Amino acid sequence: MTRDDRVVDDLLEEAAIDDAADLRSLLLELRSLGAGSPPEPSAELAALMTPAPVDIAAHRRVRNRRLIVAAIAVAASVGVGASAAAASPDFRHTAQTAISFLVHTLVPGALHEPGQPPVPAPGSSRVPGREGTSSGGPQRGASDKSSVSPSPRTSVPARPDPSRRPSTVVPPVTPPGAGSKPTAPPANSHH
Amino acid sequence: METLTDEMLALGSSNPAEVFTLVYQALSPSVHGYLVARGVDDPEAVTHDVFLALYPRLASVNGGVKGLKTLIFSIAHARSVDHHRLRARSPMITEYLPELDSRSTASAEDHALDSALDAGALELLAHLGDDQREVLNLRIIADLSLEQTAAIMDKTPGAIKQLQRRALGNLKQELEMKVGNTP
Repeated sequence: MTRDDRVVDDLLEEAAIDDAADLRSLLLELRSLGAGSPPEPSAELAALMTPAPVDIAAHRRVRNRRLIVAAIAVAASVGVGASAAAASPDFRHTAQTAISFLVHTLVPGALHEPGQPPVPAPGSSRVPGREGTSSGGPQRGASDKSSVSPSPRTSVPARPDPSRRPSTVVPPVTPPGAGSKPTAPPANSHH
Repeated sequence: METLTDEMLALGSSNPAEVFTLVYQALSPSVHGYLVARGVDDPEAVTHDVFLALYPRLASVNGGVKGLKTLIFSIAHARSVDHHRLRARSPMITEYLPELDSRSTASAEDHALDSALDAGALELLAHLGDDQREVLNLRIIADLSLEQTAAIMDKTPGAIKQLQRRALGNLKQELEMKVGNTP
């Protein structure tokens, strides 16, 4: 049994039609309409059936285009990476630390960390934050005491105020010609 | 006709020209026969149009050969419907051929030689309704299943089966009448 016979018989069976030899012949005739040779393809169809020739110039154009696209993509990715790193707080902190270190190394004392007091000059007797204490400054009135810190003042003034020297201290008397002898300790006023 | 397989279609992305050639050789005869049965004026040119419309969609066909046949005959069905609509709106201008002039009357010798089967399948099919005729064309010439035919005609498989049964019953009745009228 051919494929054509099977198609027609299946159709007659689906329609529950028996004893139909004439009808079967008619349907096989209808079926034969699609059994011829392929129609001659048109020029347009024939062009689609022909494998496309390899165009070397087109290949080069495509390759150059790909190189340009790759270069742009690399540049864009580097830019995005740099922006992301600059936006990171860790990166900024590290960069700031490194730059500060370099500046301190090259120009000592040129910069100081933000939020920290300036570093005192070497040899200075003043202690930062201790200006205006009672030991070195003028005597404060009662009204000023409210603004004075209650913490004990333990600092020592760099230059003692001459006006606060005890008046009972007797200046040493150096006898004539005894410049090489050590001076005697001052007598205690209480004794 | 070379048998088309799903494996052949799978090569479409790597070698479209070769696969398109195989598809054309395998399916263009049935497309052409279907368009002849549909009464299209220039079935060969419309066959070309069908395959030109198929080409850009060939790589995206799903369902292997079955899906491909459904797509091709969907296009062919649409083209034939467009053709008949266009012809219905405009007067048909064709070259006069005496043998195609239906106004002629057969001679006594012609009547004697004619029989029901000699009348041809297409003449008998012309007595059927459009849908009944279309179901037989798609089932027999295009070799499509009930489901494929239903998809193309936008009907259910049950409706297609019903149309098919009525079409075959009417054809059988026509044949019996022809045979009965034959002297």
